[in-house]
Amino acid sequence: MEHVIECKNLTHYYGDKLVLNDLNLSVEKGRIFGILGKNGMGKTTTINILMGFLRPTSGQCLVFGEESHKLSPATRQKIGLLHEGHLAYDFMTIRQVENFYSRFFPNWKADYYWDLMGKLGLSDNHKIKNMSCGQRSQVVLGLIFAQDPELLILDDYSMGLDPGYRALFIDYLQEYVREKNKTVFLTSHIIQDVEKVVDDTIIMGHQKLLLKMPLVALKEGFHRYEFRNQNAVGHIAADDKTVTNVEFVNDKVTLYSFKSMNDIKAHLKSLGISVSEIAEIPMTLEEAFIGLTGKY
Amino acid sequence: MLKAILYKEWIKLRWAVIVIAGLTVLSLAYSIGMINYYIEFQGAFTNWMYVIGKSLLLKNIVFVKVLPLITGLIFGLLQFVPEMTRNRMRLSYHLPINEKKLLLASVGFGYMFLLAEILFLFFGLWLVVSMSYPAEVIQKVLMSTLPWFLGGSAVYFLTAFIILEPSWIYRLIYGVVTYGLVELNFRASTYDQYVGLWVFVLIVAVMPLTVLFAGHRFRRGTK
Repeated sequence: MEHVIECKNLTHYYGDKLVLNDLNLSVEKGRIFGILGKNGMGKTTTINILMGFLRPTSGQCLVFGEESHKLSPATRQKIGLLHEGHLAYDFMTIRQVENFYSRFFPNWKADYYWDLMGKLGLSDNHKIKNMSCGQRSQVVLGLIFAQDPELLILDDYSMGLDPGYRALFIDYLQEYVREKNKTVFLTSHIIQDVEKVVDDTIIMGHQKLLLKMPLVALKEGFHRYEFRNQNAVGHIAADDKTVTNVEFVNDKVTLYSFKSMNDIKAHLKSLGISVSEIAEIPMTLEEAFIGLTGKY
Repeated sequence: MLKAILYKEWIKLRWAVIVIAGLTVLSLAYSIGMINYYIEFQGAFTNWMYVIGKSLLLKNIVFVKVLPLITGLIFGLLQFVPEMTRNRMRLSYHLPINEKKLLLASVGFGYMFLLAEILFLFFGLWLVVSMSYPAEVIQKVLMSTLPWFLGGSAVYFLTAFIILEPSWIYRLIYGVVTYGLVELNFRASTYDQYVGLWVFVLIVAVMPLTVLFAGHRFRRGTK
């Protein structure tokens, strides 16, 4: 399968502080990837390396086969970037910014941009700096769509958007990406939105990749089990094999695992913990994310 | 693509270009008034003595000292502060154009507007002085103002350099060096104080390259 992004043994330090440790990651063509991770897990560092604004201490990150920190102009033309905070040339007006960008991209599709701008109901002479964050997000999205890139990298697209604009953003993105078979790599703090749009999830833990798998496989294969047993409290530990994470609240025990109910029961039995009633509780992606990464 | 960059820089600078041009016209009109006043007030002979012996004309055209300096500073700020605010330079760096070409085009176009203002002022000054004084005086005055125009150019390039530099400590160091370099050009208050002018011309000629250094550091993610 063709890889649009390929990061190999990516390691990065800020001074003496290790932020990424031997990260390996690949993104296949035509799929939508959502990268999730708690603050300080190296998500922004990964995105900055991927966007070419940070040179990794060691390892390499290839985008369309070129090192991300020295992409050729021809390759940059194939990548639509949405920077955190919907960064835009806010000293320009709606018309000026379109006029500016259109001269850089030979396949410029102005209709995509003007369709979105038409929905804003603002004058073409409206300055971007006088727009709300939501309105600015539409301008930036319109510019990316018009650019017609093969790969879209959207860094925290939901930041500062109210639910209405978030839904609008997702609707347009879904429509555009599915119709045109684009590859998308996105991050967001609003996991329920990510759940609606992504094919694959990448979850980052401390300095490393915790998991990369299709969303469907994660939802079907990752389980949450609950039971009550005072004796179990403190006697079950998370490991890489059976129990991914465990939480105790009074006598309530919550286990997160990729294993089946029978495997968990057998595991508990091997620990000398007898459980009469154990239930599997369905999870949203957000709950699965917390289950994988922990609440703290 | 270069046209697009010119378009962007024009959007940032257009009002400043117009305001500075207006100020230049006002300043030149003020000079005409001052020169005529002194000739009238002192009489032709005394005025001549003052113009030659005391460099009076340079004192009458003090705005020539200030305008290129202010213009260089304002143009540098207006062009590059919006680029560096909220790391907006990342947008420019993602454009499908060679990064060195992008940076040199940005300062090149900015300097083109600055040069237009400087030439407007220079020829305006030539016109004003030639209305009342002979060729020898015109030459002395214009030659004496050249370091000020060069100083304005240096301020422009170094302002761009300092703003594009990602580290505040480096910015501070560059700021001190800039002050020292530029101040040399504004010391003279009498004619013919332009020793080493050609050396400074060479220094200013390589200054656009400094933005490549700062831009490279920004690109590497230097903090």
